[in-house]
Amino acid sequence: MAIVGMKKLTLVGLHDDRHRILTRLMEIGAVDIASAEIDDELGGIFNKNTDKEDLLELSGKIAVLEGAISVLKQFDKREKPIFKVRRDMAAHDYMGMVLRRHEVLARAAEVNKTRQELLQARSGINKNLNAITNLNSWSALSIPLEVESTKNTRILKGMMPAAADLDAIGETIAGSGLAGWIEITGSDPDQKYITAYVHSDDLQPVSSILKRNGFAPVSFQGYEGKIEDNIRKIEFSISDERQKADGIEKKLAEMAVHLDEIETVYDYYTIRKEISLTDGDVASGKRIFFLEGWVPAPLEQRLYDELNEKWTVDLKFRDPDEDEEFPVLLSNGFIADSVQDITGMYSLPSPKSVDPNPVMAPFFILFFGLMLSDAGYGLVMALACGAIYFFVKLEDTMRRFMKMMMLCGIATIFWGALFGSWFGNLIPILMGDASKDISIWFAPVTDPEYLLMWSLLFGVIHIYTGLAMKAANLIKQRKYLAVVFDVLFWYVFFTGAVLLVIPFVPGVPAGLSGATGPWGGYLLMAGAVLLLLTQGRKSKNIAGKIIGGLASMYDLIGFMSDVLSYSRLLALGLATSVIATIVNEMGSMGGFSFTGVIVFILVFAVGHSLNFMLNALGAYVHSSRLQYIEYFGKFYEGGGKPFRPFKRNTKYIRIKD
Amino acid sequence: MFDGNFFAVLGAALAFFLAGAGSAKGVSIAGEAASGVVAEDGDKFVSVMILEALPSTQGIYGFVIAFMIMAKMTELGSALDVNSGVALLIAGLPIGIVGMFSAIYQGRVAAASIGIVAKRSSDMVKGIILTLMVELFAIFAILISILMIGRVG
Repeated sequence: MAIVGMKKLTLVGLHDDRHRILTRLMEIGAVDIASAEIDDELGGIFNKNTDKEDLLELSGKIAVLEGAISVLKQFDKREKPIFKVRRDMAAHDYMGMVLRRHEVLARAAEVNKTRQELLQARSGINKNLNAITNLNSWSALSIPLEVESTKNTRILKGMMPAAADLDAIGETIAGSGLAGWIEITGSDPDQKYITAYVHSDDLQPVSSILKRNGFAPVSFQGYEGKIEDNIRKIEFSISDERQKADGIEKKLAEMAVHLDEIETVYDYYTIRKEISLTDGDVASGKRIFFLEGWVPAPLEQRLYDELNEKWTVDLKFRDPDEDEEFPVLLSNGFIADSVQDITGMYSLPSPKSVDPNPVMAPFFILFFGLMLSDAGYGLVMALACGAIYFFVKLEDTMRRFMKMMMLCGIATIFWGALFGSWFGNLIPILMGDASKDISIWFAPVTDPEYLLMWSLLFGVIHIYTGLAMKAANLIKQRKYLAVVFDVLFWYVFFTGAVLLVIPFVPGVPAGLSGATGPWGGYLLMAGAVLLLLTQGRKSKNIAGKIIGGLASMYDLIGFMSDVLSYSRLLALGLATSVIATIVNEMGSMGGFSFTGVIVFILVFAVGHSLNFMLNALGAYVHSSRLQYIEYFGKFYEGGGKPFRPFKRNTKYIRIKD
Repeated sequence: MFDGNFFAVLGAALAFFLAGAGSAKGVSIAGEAASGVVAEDGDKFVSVMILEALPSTQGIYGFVIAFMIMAKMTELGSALDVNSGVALLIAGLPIGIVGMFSAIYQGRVAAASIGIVAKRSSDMVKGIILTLMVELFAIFAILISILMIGRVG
């Protein structure tokens, strides 16, 4: 159980079968097809072509379908499941839908067109609403809008800043001997809406006075009649447009019943695009073609039988070369499988290293439990996630996550029971003595130092396991001497350091702390000498060797801070149970009466959910961190490329053959 | 009025209000960056929410220490002598002060890491690791506060 071995496949087939073979390979989904390597010898015979036109056409169709899907989703009234899963579809139903694909594609285009109409109608409504707001500002204007002059007067309409003093402006005009009359025909907090009546002869000087005071003319081109009539007219057209928009929305809502079909056809075209893309990686000659790729070793025989049975093909499988990187596929048991995505978020292991998941899983799960550390929360989590895991249809990633959370919940019950925390001190409260200790092991709140000691000890174990993993990697790479130099010597050195500092760690039993000191000193010295002699061995000259050896001493500080970092196990664990206890205390303030019980239930539900969410998140990220930095840091060789088989990468449907 | 109880309660108050205020600030710094990302791409909500929540732990630690100081007061009895009171006050300071600063600075790293998520959501874990680096000091602070409380009385 670990990283799956891979075989390099070279498949040679007849040109006529090419498309069918590719389609079949996709259905099997076992080959990670690599771009075929055409060397000089084959250069004249084979070449690789990507059909760019075909790809462009497919991408265009996919874009149309995608647009329609995003529109129809808004109008889809069906209940949506909490966990998104692809629909199962029988192969012959799928084929039936594929035959109708042109019809569906046309419908998708129509959806997009209808959507455009809807947008247009909506923007028309907005434009008219704005027009009404503008006209309303002029509510006091009583003359028809198109009237801009009489025989001897000009009528100016425009805006002025709210601060403008109209009386003063009026006096300025009158004082200059000009014939002009200003009137406020509307106002809001920012602007005044002004109508000015000016004698034709005085137009020039009056407008320049107005302009000096911030007058900005407003045009009513296109309007006729009085303000009220115009507003009424626009309101009519808005209600018309609203009706139209409602009609379009209804039409889209009716079209939403075709969402499933459009999604299916979308997947059909993405499958075709995938085939077309992969086709570009295949080397084709006049009569034959060949392709190369990686196949998981366990599937070799099945692939061989299946292809040979139907077509004239030549299949060759070979083991990867010594220094050849092959794609990484992990195969693990029930528990190790669950934390696979935690490792995946960091990096996939290198194909030449050991799969870290089986060893990491128990640490991740137990550390999570120790940091959440309340059996009540663990119980809720294990039951909820377990129910989802066993009874709800899920995609693989979500399934693994639920499984991991269920296992973490079980670990939380384990630690919570050891520490006697069931929803904080709920059980003691119900028994009538809030401070009663019901722990199986001990209560961390009363003796945090003891838990600190254990937390650090778990840290040392975890880090030592990390070093052991490094040894496993080195053995897999046949570097046996390095196992002694780079792992064993560090064990000696670190163990010396650990024994030396044990007397200073709080919570260590007195008998133990006295005895270890001297031994630690000897071991530390021995380890230091061994490391000084060996850690610089990769340097060419003697100075480099000495500096390399000395520099390795610095790792002791790194080791110590790594171990201290595990004190978070205590800090987070304590936080959960303390807050849970406070919630119970607050809840039980009401005493044992009718209202008291109601208050208790409310505070209990809200307080514990909040505490659970915050601390579960904390436990999750901190447990991950302990793996990434303290554990992986010791040995991990990442950078593996994931195994991406050529298969139907569908988004909405799962085709059942 | 300046008896042991006064100093102990002051210690509990300082432990929580400094760390809590720091967390409020840190979460708000990260939250502003997070809202910006969600405005652009609603699908990244969960990733940025996790990052935004990280600086809230300091407030929780302050809360725990405040509670433990008060529990210690109950344990030691009603008339606390001034020495023990001052000792409890001082025990509240590490998580109060370190918690406040680490929460604010962690909030800034979280905001920067939210920037990572905005560009590449696949690198969210790296952002979480970077952000958690700052938290270690708050963890040491609560640890020291716990150990100090344990020594009083």
